[in-house]
Amino acid sequence: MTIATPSHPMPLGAFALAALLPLPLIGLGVLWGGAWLWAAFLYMGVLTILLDQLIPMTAGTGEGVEFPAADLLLVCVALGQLTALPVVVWAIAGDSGLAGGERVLLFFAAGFWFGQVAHPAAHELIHRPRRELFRLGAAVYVSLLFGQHASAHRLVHHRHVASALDPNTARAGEGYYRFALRAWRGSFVEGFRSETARRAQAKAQAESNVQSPGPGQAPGIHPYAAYLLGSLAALVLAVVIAGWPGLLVWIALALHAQSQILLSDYVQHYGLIRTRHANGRLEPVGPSHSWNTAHWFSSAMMLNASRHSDHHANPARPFPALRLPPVDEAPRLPWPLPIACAMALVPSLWRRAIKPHLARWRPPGRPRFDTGLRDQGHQDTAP
Amino acid sequence: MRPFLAALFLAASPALISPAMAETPLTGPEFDANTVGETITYDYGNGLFGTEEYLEGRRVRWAFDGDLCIYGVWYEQGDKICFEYETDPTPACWLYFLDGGQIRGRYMGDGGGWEITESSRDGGPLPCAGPDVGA
Repeated sequence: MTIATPSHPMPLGAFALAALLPLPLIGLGVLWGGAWLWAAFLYMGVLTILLDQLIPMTAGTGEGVEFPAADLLLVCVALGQLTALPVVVWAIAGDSGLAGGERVLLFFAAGFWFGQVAHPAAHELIHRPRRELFRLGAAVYVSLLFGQHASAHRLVHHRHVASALDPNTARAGEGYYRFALRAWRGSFVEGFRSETARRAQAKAQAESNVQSPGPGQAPGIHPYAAYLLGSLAALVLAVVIAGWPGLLVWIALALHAQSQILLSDYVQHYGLIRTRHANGRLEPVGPSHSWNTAHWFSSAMMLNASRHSDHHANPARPFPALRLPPVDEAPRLPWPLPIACAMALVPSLWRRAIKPHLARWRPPGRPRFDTGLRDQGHQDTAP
Repeated sequence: MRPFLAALFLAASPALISPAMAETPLTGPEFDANTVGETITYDYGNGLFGTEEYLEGRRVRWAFDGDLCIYGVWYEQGDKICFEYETDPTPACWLYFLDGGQIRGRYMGDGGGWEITESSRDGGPLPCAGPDVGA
């Protein structure tokens, strides 16, 4: 059974509009407060959900189309985030003339945009082979005090996804808060290990090239040093902008964004595990190891982050070309990604809601729990 | 010299050369003797597979992570052990092995070849959600 997919691909302009529109609303909100802040907040919190629910449709993908403008959109979002963050910190913590309630609205409107839009854009950028694009994506994470994500996501998460070796794959039954602590610590440590190992390898290679002429590429500064220095610079900037309150607000905005990054990791692989064969090797990563969502508006706003199986199969594929696998090939969440993330904040609710959907993707060989069972007569064969 | 010694050592202990080649699956009575009266939790690829309680008379109760318990029976078919459950009458066949007292199963159905390993066991009854509670 497959959902009929319209052949029309989502035009790039739709991605651009959905992703970038909150930015001018936030900007006008900083200047004039009031209605503009409400507009930005409602856009991120309510409009997305309404449009997903009221207009059910699934956008297709452009087969074999080039997307030169897609990278431009990513660069715009990233530069927008790097500009908006200090401005928003000033408006919330500094002498902006906004009322207390307006500052709270701004915090959440901007925080949701950083977590739901800037993060997917930065995520695309760190998968780009061009060094400038990668660095721009990493800079977004550094500004959110989460630079290690640029390393750990590619080197640890993509390699070990849906196995116990990936700190960012949630186990079935694991609540979000426990996961968040484990994933934060695990990805920081494992990302550091991977980068250090890569540097040792590059160094050994450079040294073995000493005898033979030719450019041996010695590794430069450790990426983690760059991440930490960058984050330190961001915090100094926060103090310069708005003193100690500025520092607190910057950290709070960063934590808000980080919690959303971890939430999407949590939801996108929850409970999905690769089987291990008799020779000890894990099953290759396939479509059944990520949760996908079909909802068009949140997908456009999040630059197709919801088409996650295809992203893991083809990490270099630009976001407009990501495909949504049929429902019988890959796990599908019945909720838009932002709703699923909100549900995961209440672990008991999430566990109950996801269970019947997860049951379909359990390995065979034993009965898979299904909600239909509850109504079925139970034969008591107890001794 | 060292490779020769190593070869001699390996030749003398076939089980060490390749456990996959030397292993023989558990027979029905062996499987029964190693499981009956126990409640065993299995992992697959380092994720929870589920928990099964082995009852007298080659009967089982199965549950995933505190879900409803589902009853089933098992029987031998060649060297395989096949399970049939009340909710799904299609038999699911496995090869079972014993590694140092722990059960390991290899699924032999469609897309099989992957394994589950015993991660813990106790003698207590299987915790069940729903109808079976207190039964």
